[in-house]
Amino acid sequence: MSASTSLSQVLKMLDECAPGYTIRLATHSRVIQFGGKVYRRFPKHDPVENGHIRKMVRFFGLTACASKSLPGVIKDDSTIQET
Amino acid sequence: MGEAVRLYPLVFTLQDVVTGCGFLAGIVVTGKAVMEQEDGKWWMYGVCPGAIAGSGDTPNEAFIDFRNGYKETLFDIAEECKGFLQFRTAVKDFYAEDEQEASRWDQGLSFLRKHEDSVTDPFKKLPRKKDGEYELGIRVERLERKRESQLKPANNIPDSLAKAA
Repeated sequence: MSASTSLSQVLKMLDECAPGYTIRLATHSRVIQFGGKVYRRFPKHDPVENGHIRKMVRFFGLTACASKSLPGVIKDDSTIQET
Repeated sequence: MGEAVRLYPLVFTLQDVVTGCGFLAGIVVTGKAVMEQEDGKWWMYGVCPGAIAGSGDTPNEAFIDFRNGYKETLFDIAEECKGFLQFRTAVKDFYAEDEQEASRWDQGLSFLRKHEDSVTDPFKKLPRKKDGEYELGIRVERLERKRESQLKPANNIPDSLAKAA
């Protein structure tokens, strides 16, 4: 498994950055709802690989806040390549 | 040799048959994703559908993980057992675009076009698809209500992965 973060740290970030979010277990993954959007493919295992956290943060548009809560995982300069 | 390409814009097509509570659904998706190397692994991040990622030690492994994750998400939606119409709505909602990822896909495509000479395997061997050569979207059909004459091998679609061009 590549670099990972504990689920409790992810939930703490969501408490700070996505107030009112809900999370539930499905058979194959966790389902997170926030701001009218549904993220259906968050892993069930703990810790969670950072790539899955980065994806979920981008999907919900939480990058600026999450970079403060999880600075080792999320960087605010989400641009990868200069064009 | 140009600057190294690190973010690959991809286009994929997948076909699945999913059994729900009292229905049989056929789903065909043509979507977009990006692939890049992070934390020592390859990651495939969905653009549409946007709420999914897959990883692996190689780009092919990342695609397989992404593909399996996509299929398992369809299974999870089917297990909600709210009927075919709700299943179709939930699957179409799942296809929703991740705007930030879409922006990265565009950036990746722009970079790729300028540095095509630096694309390496296995991406070099991937087929290329230009805008207009594919139609993005997701189709959900109720298969068990189709007429026998509508069920034919010509409907079968193999999994495919291409780099945008």
